[in-house]
Amino acid sequence: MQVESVDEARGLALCAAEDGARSTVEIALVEPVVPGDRVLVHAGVALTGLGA
Amino acid sequence: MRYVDEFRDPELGRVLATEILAAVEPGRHYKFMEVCGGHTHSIYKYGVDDLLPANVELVHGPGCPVCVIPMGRVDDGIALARRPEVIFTCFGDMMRVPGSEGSLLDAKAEGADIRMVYSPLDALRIAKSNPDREVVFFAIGFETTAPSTALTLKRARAEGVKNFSCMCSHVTIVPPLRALLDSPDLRLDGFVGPGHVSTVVGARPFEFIPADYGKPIVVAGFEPLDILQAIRMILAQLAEGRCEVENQYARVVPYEGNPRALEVMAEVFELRPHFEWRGLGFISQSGLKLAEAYADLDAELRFEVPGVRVADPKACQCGEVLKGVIKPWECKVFGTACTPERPIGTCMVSSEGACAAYYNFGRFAREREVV
Amino acid sequence: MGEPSVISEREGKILGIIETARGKRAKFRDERVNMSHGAGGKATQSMIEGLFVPAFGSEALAAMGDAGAVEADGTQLALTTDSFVVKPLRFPGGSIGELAVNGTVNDLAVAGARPLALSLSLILEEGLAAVDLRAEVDAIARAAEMAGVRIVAGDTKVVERGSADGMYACTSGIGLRDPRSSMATDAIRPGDRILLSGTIGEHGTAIMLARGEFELDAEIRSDTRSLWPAVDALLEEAGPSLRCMRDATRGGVASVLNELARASSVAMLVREAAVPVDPAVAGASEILGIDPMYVANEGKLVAFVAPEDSERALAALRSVPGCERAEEIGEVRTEPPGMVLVETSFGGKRVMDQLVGDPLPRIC
Repeated sequence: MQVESVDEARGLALCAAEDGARSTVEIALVEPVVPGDRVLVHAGVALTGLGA
Repeated sequence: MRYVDEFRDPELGRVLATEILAAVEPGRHYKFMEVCGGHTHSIYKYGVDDLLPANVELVHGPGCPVCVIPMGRVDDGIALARRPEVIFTCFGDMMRVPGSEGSLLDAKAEGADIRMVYSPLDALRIAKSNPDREVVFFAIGFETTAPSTALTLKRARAEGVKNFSCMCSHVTIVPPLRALLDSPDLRLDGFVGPGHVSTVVGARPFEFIPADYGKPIVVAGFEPLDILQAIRMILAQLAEGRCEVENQYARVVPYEGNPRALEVMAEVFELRPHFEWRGLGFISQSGLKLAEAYADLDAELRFEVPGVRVADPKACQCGEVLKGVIKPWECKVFGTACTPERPIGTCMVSSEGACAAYYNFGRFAREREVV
Repeated sequence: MGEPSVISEREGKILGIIETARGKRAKFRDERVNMSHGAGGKATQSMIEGLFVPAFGSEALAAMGDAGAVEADGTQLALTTDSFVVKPLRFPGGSIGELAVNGTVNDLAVAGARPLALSLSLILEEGLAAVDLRAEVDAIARAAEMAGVRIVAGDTKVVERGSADGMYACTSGIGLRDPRSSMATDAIRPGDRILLSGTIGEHGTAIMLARGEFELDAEIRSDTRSLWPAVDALLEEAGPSLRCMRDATRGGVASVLNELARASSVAMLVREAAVPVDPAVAGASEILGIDPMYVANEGKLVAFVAPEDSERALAALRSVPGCERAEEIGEVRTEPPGMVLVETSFGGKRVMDQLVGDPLPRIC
């Protein structure tokens, strides 16, 4: 999924799949991420970055 | 979708299938285990096994985290769910797994407040919006989902959410593999290693498989081309007499895993001395529980759970099926006491498990083999 | 190649036991009704075939069509009934009122009957806001007008708070069987083509997301609409070649194909790449681990057409507003009877089985 916006205070990011489906994702394990980064998400947690 | 579509290109699939056909020794039968339930699902979804030569057989491994949860744990979960103050939350695929007297889905029909969540964070959200209820999250899964549970528990602690707790049934991937490999009657030639688990633990923990047991393993991604490529890599190792850990999924899996995830897990969880696996029995140091520091969030301590062990029916031979020693139809209870509607062992619980697949599609699979 | 493919005596015997068990009429053996009995898969089937059909002993019911046939003084009528429970009452693309009209209209339409009139029963929960009731009554009136049916009878009950999710609606419908075609669930023949009237999975996905249970959000609208215009066009262009039609509601396209493959004792081969799926639906289902082929639609039909007329039928479908993305998604084969096979977009083949219960999101 692609990071759309980051809520640093809460350690969450709004991420969108390639087709527009959006969900809130925990990003503590891959920080720092910035909007535009792609991440692999499992059970609501970004497990690894996939580069921009 | 472009990123994903590259790995679903049927043209490249045919090229790989041809290469695999060229790489197999005629007359030799290959058995490879795909460890992860996610691989099993992709293989099914895309019909990957249909593209393999008849003498390359894929054996579905123990890596379906819901299917390996033993009956006793399901019963404990149902007991918690039945408490009037409890909202019991779990992943959707856990709902149908049978305990000794029905599944969570049945308990829901009888009035228990059971809700399906997509992530532990959803469960925490339910807790925050229902402050007068106790919300229990039934945590299951390998190292892929364990970090998610760990982070949620840390978040619950940090945000001071008092009505949230976790029934931890997380498991780890290496011990069951070692248990399988330890059995003298194992008939496997190599392993397709788990992809998502490896994003957390890395590829290093699998080094014992070639080193101690002389079997090749290739960590693979979940797209159909990933799986075909991993199979070709295993075949190449066998043909060249190599035996090592290779990483087909390097675009996602760092060899060392995700150290931060491992750190969080180490902080929140500790190993149980042993954990029971449906169909495989007790395996030591294979399950996780909440660490001392998080004991106040442990549902098994907060509430009384029966904790009764329900033995797998003696006749169930899932272990042998997983090891590739017997075929599903050779099991004593297959098709009689154990059916997809009333499953006993892990191989029948999952719709993609070896036994369920054989029960549903056996005749069709046979016809394909003859063609 | 490999091990010789000889079926041993014991394996043959076990395959035989399975076949016999599968061939038997499903039995209703559960101790309680649970949610899977309402999901349109195997459990629903066990309740219908194992309890209702034997108890009522009616030929029209045993034919298991979407609407039953009734003859009155030489006039061929079709009768159907449906109840609607949906949470939330309103969702992107529609509401319970529209579903109640279109659902029953569609059951008549796919049975080849021109919808004439509906009855409407409402079960209202104590405390329901008048503004919500009014909105649904408007929605029902609008949908009935668009579908060209009148509502000619009705009933209302109010139940105590907590006994219904705001409101439940039941509609029964009567239609005039169209003489341009005679269809039956067992009329499908090898060689027939399978047509699908548009993109799948929108209704079920929209509802799932509208419930807000998942931290997931996507722009997906329910596809609820009357299918009569589509059926009318098919009857006009290819009436005599139409074997059978179904609207792919709960259980999705996969369940329709499985039911009909069994009813007609044929095999079906579906080309996954030909099945139209909206990218937003594909994405949401991928994240939730659900196959759109099993997700409910409220305005999509599957039609079986003789091969020589399939192109004309497809063109006729595509000319109907809302069916522009209709496709031929596969064909009927002989072997293995009762089974639906999918040629995946990746080039492999697999069996597309009946659903056991509700489609549940998966994590592993």
